[in-house]
Amino acid sequence: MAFVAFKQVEKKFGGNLALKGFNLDIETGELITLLGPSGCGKTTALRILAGLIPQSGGTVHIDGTEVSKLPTAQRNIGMVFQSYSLFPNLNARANMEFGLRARKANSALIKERVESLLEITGLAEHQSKYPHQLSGGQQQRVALVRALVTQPRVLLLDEPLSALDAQVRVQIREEVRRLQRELGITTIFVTHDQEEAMSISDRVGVMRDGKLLQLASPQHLYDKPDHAFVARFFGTVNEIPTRLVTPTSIQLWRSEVDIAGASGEPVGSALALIRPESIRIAKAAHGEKAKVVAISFLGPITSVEICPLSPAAADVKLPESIKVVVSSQQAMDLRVGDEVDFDFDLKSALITYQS
Amino acid sequence: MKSLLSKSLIALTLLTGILFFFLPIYASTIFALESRDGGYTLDPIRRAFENEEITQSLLLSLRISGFAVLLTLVVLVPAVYWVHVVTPSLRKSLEFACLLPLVIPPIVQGVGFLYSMPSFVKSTPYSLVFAYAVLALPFTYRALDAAFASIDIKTLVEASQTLGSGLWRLIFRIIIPNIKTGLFASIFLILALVLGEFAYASLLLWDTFPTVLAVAGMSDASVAVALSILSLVGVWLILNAISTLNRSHRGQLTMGVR
Amino acid sequence: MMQRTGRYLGLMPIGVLLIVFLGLPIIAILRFSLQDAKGGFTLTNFRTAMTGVYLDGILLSINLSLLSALISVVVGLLFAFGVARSRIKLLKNLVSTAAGVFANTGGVPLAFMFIASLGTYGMLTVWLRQVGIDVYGGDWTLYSFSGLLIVYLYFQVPLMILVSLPMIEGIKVEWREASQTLGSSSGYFLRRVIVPVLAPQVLATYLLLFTNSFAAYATAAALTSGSIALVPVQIASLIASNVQVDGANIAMALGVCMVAIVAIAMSIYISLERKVAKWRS
Repeated sequence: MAFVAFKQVEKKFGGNLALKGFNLDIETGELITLLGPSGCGKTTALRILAGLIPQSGGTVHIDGTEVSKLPTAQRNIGMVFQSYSLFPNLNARANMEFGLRARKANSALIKERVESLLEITGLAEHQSKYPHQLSGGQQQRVALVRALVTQPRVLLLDEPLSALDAQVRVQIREEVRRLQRELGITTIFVTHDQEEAMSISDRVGVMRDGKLLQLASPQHLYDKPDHAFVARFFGTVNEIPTRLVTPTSIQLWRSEVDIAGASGEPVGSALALIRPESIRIAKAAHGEKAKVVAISFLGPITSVEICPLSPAAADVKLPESIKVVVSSQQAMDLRVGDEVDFDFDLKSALITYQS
Repeated sequence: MKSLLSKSLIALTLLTGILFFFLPIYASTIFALESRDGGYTLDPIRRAFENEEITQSLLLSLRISGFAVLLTLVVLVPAVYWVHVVTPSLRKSLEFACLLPLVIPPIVQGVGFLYSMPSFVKSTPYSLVFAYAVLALPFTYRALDAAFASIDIKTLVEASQTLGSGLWRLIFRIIIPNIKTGLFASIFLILALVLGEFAYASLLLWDTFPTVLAVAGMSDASVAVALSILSLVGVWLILNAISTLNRSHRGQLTMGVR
Repeated sequence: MMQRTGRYLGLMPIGVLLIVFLGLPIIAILRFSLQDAKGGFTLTNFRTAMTGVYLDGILLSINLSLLSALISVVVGLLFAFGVARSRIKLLKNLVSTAAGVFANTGGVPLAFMFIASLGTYGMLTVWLRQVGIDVYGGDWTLYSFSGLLIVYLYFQVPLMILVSLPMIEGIKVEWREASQTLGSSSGYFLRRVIVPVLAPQVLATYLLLFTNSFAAYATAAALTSGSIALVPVQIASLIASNVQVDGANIAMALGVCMVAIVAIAMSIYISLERKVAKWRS
């Protein structure tokens, strides 16, 4: 069995179902991120694993043992909270020693563990400072060390960077990843920031409304999203309306595309979700065309607003104008007023039906 | 944590609390309104308000509080404005000065007042206006300071100055509307203070409501108790008005009338 | 507003008010406390004030204040703990409002209310007698030290509750959760975090309650008509009486002693509050 496992975990708050049929397997030494908007259940799942809240159904396992009946203090986990978790009356070092001292470990062991972590993280110079004397970033680093001193089996991080400045966030998430790799500790990270999730995780679980939508490596999620929601969550994606021609093919721009493997029920129209890098746009000499109405340069990508000139055969019903995001390299030579044509690489597109 | 034991303990404590605080109110109301033949009567209240001395003292107290409010506003509002806009470095000093009366118990202040003021001051009950304004300072200062702090008055004033506003317009259209909560809180605080202040009034031998009430206690118990309940209810209503105006209780914990 | 005097214009009115109506009384107190009846310099007033019957009065006041503050801290804190963590929002608001109301109850009306309840002919006394409990059967009377203590608790306990509620809310839930994830027992957490964090705040509140009680006059005056010789009562009677020729001077000296005690308590309070504020930031 996986090192950490959620099996059919359910959580009800009053009448509200915060987690439904939640299944998750985490391998030893993995860093998994639970990613989703607020209210999706990611923090709930984390806190159930920590034992801070009981589940309404299902079981939770750590290293083969079912831990639901165990109180938090006996689960041997480490947790970093979003903010305010450092004890204000103890300095940084005393905070770090707290876990081992609470378990009556001997002083030599405490000294050894704390000092090695202080060295690895470079926090030695701050060890006598009190929380109110530390910056937000330093506080979270202290909180991280405090959680690791007890050598927990699993490390849990509940949106630890959300309260920090953008620059500090990047520094600390890299430090978290570095430490995690070095110590080989199984880690669950919770966040709503997709960049965070993508940059440090082995795998990412995208959640919505209490359900785990897709669990895969960041690359896989980007290239092969299962759901429109997942596709939209990572990076930019174009949403191009299409029309069903046959139950297994749609009219996308000029061509009829076979979409036997698309998700959902084949009724109504379909939506093609295509990444900027899968679109080629060029000035058209003849054939199906669209006119460039506006261009917005956004750095690595450019938004090109186009107006389809002559609709394809049999009323595809494209909107008056649509914005298509392409890589800026493609859009380099375009000017307003140009007539252009598209080429789609559908290998990494997601087609979903909309009723 | 939320075991049955702790829940029942909490319930027990709450019950004891309710009994301790509400029984005396109930018992004394019955005491005041019980008539000799076993029923209840509002007679003591009628007697109270037919009593010249009592009504006069109430009016005097109300007049004194009115003047004290005016004095406080005229003196304190410019001062607090000053330390927020003109000389921010003096804010801490003003705070210290306004909190100073807290260190000197009212009875001691009263004695000092008695022995330092010239007779022309002591010959009028309205000398209490100044005494009470000083007594109320720690509380009225906090109320007004909080009101000014919450609106960043400095920016407002600068903005209105760039728009070409004159001094009076500034005061009436900008400053006063924005510190309304602080103003009302001060009014109510002083009212509660004056209706309950005893030390100064008894030392200087003025017939304010509290001193007359104390004397009434010796002659007509029912009247005195009825008036006491009424004045307590009155102060409670006043405090309710303050708290509805002011979400946070930080500034005006208690008026210190004991 | 460029002139020197113009720079402080707005602060002049309050300066005048304070100097005249606070400053002059303070100077008078200091002056008279160091004078004898004839106006010559002397320290005997202080000697008298701190011995014999006046010393008894000071000690009585201090005892009453120490005791009422202590009981209020314990009872109020327990009460506040029970209420602050309650999930019933309404309960917390009600208790908070009620505490605010009762903390401001005092003076003459409060005294009369208690006389009408627990006095010799008070309504509660009568009712208790009807069920067989004679409160006045033994030595006890409302007009005693213990009676006064009970009355003082009526406004002291609510003040404690009022201050405790935000104090307990300041205990972040993350601390307990962090402590649990670190494998600590509740006891260790209580000992290592809760108590050290609350201690300075509780002590500061204790001092606040102490000075609140120490400076109180009206309640005692109306309740006991001078039979309980607290310092404020002694001061008032010295001023009122014409018997002692240097009565006023002794009263002033007593006043200075009062101020000294309150000032010490208040300065400790302020330094504690400052320390707590630092942590809170």
